[in-house]
Amino acid sequence: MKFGHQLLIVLFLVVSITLSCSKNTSEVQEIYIAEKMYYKANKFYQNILVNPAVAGEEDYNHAVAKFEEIVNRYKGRKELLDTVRSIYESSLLMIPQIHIARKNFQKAIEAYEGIIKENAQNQRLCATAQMSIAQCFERDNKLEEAIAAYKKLINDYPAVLDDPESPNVQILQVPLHLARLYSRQQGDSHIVVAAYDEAISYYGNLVSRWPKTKTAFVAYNQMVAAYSDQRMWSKAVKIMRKALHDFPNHENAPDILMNMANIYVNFMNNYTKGWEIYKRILEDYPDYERMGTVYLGRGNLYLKEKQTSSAREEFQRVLKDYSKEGEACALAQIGIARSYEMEGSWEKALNEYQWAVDNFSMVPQVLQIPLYIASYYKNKKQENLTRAAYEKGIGEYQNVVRQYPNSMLASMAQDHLARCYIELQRWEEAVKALETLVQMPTPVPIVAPAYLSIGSIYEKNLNDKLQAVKAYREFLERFPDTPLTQQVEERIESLQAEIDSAASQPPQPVQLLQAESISPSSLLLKWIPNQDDDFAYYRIFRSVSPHVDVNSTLVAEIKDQQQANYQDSSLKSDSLYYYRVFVYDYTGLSSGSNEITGKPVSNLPPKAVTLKAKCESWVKISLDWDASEDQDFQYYKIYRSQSSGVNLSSQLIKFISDRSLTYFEDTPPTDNAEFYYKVYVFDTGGLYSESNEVRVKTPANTPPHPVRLREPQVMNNNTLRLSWTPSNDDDFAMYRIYRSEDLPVVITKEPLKIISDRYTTQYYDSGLEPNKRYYYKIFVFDKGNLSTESNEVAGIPVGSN
Amino acid sequence: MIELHKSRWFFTAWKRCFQSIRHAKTFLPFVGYAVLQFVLLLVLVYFTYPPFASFLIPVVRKLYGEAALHYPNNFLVLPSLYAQFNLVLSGIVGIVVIGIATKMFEMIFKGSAPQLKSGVNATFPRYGQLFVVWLVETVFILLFVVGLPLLLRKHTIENYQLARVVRLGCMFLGILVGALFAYTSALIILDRKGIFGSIARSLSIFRENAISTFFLIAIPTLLYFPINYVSQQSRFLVTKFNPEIVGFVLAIGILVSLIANYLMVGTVTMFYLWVTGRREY
Repeated sequence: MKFGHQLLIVLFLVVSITLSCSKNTSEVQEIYIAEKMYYKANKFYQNILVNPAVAGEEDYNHAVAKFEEIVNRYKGRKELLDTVRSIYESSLLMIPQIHIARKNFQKAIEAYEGIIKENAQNQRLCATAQMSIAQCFERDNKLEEAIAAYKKLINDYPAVLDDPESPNVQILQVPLHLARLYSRQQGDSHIVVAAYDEAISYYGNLVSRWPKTKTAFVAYNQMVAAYSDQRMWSKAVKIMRKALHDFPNHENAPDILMNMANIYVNFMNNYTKGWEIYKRILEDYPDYERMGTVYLGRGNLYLKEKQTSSAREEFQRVLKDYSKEGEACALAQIGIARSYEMEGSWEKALNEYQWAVDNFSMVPQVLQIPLYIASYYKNKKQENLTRAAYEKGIGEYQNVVRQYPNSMLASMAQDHLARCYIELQRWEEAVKALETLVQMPTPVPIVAPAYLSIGSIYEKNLNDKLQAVKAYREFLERFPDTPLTQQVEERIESLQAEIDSAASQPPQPVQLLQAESISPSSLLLKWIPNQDDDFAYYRIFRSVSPHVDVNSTLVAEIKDQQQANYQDSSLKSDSLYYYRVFVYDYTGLSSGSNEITGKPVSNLPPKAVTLKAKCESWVKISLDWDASEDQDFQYYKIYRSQSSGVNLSSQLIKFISDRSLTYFEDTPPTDNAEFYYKVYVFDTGGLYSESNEVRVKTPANTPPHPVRLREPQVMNNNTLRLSWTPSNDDDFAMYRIYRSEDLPVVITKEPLKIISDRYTTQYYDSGLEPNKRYYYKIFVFDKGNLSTESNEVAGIPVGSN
Repeated sequence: MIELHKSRWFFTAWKRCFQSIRHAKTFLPFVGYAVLQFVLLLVLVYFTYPPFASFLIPVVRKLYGEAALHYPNNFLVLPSLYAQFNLVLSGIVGIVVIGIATKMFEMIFKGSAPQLKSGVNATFPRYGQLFVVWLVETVFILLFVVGLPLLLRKHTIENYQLARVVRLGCMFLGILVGALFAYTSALIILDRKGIFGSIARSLSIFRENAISTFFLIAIPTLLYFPINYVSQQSRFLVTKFNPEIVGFVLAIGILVSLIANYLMVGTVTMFYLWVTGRREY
């Protein structure tokens, strides 16, 4: 390499190093470092959130430390901080987020307070931190502190800083949220009304101060919500009209009109206004993106006016022209069904409802249809149809749960599924469905009643007070602060008292009914089951003398309370036995039943079977007989003799312990002879019976049919392939292949090959001399050693390698 | 009989190439090149740091946009960025490495010990020819491997099956171009051919030994495929594991390319020497 080139490289490096120190480069570098640190910290934290159950305290601390590392790197370094401000602030806010994830709200609040203290100049960051403090209190069920924190947020941090077109919408929503919090805490007291008034006044001030801005628009919406919460519909409508006056061309104007129409129609029963508004939307906002809902509203309005066919026209328009608006279409489909139902055409309505179920199963309103159909039949007192409708509902809800697991829809379907089981009084399945429901990510309004339903079913329908108490306790654990809390606590106390009282009493004894002899070695015991809540198990005791007690022979222990019989086997026939059943509870207390006796019937020899025989060939005699029906059957034994009078000292040819196996193929030792057979049936008591004797004469053996040897096929210059037709003789034994270099084929020597598989019908003869003629013959041998020879064939191995 | 001899040459070329492994010196040019590739990779991974930041930041911004300057996006574009810089490196240094290695393999073929210095002395004076031939070959390869898929993009974008066929077809064409130019380095270094002479003779040798030449190039190229496939899944690697793992995968790719390059140059040189009538000593 020339010196000039080296110089150029050095110059390039020097320039690079110098330029690397430029401001732009160092900014990129600093941002990159901060991003990398944040990415690593966040990834670590996200991994914890994937499976928080396995994360330990150390993991959370490590995640906090990673974010703190970022904060400490830039804290107090103004120039650097300006470059990476967003990452710095995100890191600051992530630290309390991790505390919240651990449900350590106090520590999170302290961290947020630290952020406010150290970043007092940063209004936006402080507002976010203050909002988070209030939310922490709220999540921690400290409503008073939450309210105070929200009030501080409104007082200290204005929702609009400089530009009313970009307000802090979160802060704007706080006054209404506060009023709702009061409502949750206090019910309908004057404090709640005052809070709503305060919120409305706050929003009114914003509208006056920044009219026709985004701030004013958000404030109008909040005012409408505040009036709607209080069911002050006229005032809500008035605000909406003001909003529409100030923002006639706002993109949400048609939404406001739709809301207004909804209030007029559904809450103020002013249908005329409803019609006017729908007409206005159609005329003024022809491009409204939710036009389907407008026609849906018109359809519903027709239904309210009982103009069912006009309603259907509107609904059908939704289905036809606005198929992309899935929910509107589903509701339109339900509307069509309702219209038929109003006309009294239930069959047509049913068809339309079913269509909705089949096509819009993801819409919550549609999910209620199976229950609605069943309740229709229930109201009409059509029991069979009601039952069938609930059964069908079960199938449909199970499908939804399977199709959309872990979704809100699945939770709702599971809730409906439980309802179907309850209506059908299938209590165990209902409890199972509800127990699944409470494990699902289900919203409070569904899950809280589910716990109570579980408790109620256990208490009233399954008579299991312990499980009922468990369910109620789980409810309290999960929802410690609800209006129902006190009621549930009282119920637990009362149930617990009943359980405790029952626990000090011995269980109710059962009544033994009878001991029925069902075989020479067994008795069937029957009793009326115990119904105690604290049942633990039954113990059955037996004795050969009277006065059976717990020191007698323990026959069985049964844990199933509803089991009401037991078969005691391995008994001696014709012997007398005494029995008692003892019931035990969880505390170990027991009660004994009455004493009964039983005697297994005397053992009789099994019934003889009828034997038939058929000679298929001299090597195959088929025997079959009817199956033994004896209770204590043990096995069949088949005997053979070459003279009449088969008995147990004749030749035993088969032993069969399977009662249902009633067929056997015997291979007799010789041809052209007579054979006699009998089948003996033995029982477990050693008694037996013999069948009729059958005589079979075997025919004389005949030589096998010859096979036909085909012309050998030349494989190469030293191999020939032989093939032949298979033998179809019943008593086939083997093929013997002979080879000679001259005719006739010599069969006195050892055969070339012996093949004992009937279906192997080819043979490769290799190692032959090329271009030499070879002769072949094949013999078929049967089991009687008779044989038949085939035709002779010749072959010459020729050709190249 | 001619075909039989050729296939024997093919297998003997592989055998002799593997035997050359005993001469550790033959690895020197390839190891040196791999070290340079590692350095390049490190520079690209730490592109925001001095001393190359001022050069690389504008380049990365120009090639992939502002987002590529941020972590972990830079690792998403790293395989592509590395491939582009590596192409330049192969045009500047790679051709020298091939030239030196070709000479060293010839020395082994002749029965003498391979000398790095001899390789360097034989290669540097022919750098110009090597570079022009490399440029022509690279243009053709890029035309088939990059240009053709882009040209057919509107047809392949919605047809996955067709896209797969096109990808395989382009890969085949890329290997084919490599095979057509396979002997140019040996011709320039060992037989002192010029640019056109070396290309024309290489094409003629390919015509006479098409299948053998194709597989001499294709077999080492196949070694790249698994690592290429993995490095193309950079989004998956970044989101599922760790962004830095992309760099690790590329580093493994450098080791694989060291072996593949050794085998390719070794076998092609040995095969060339037999084809052109040289005899072993």
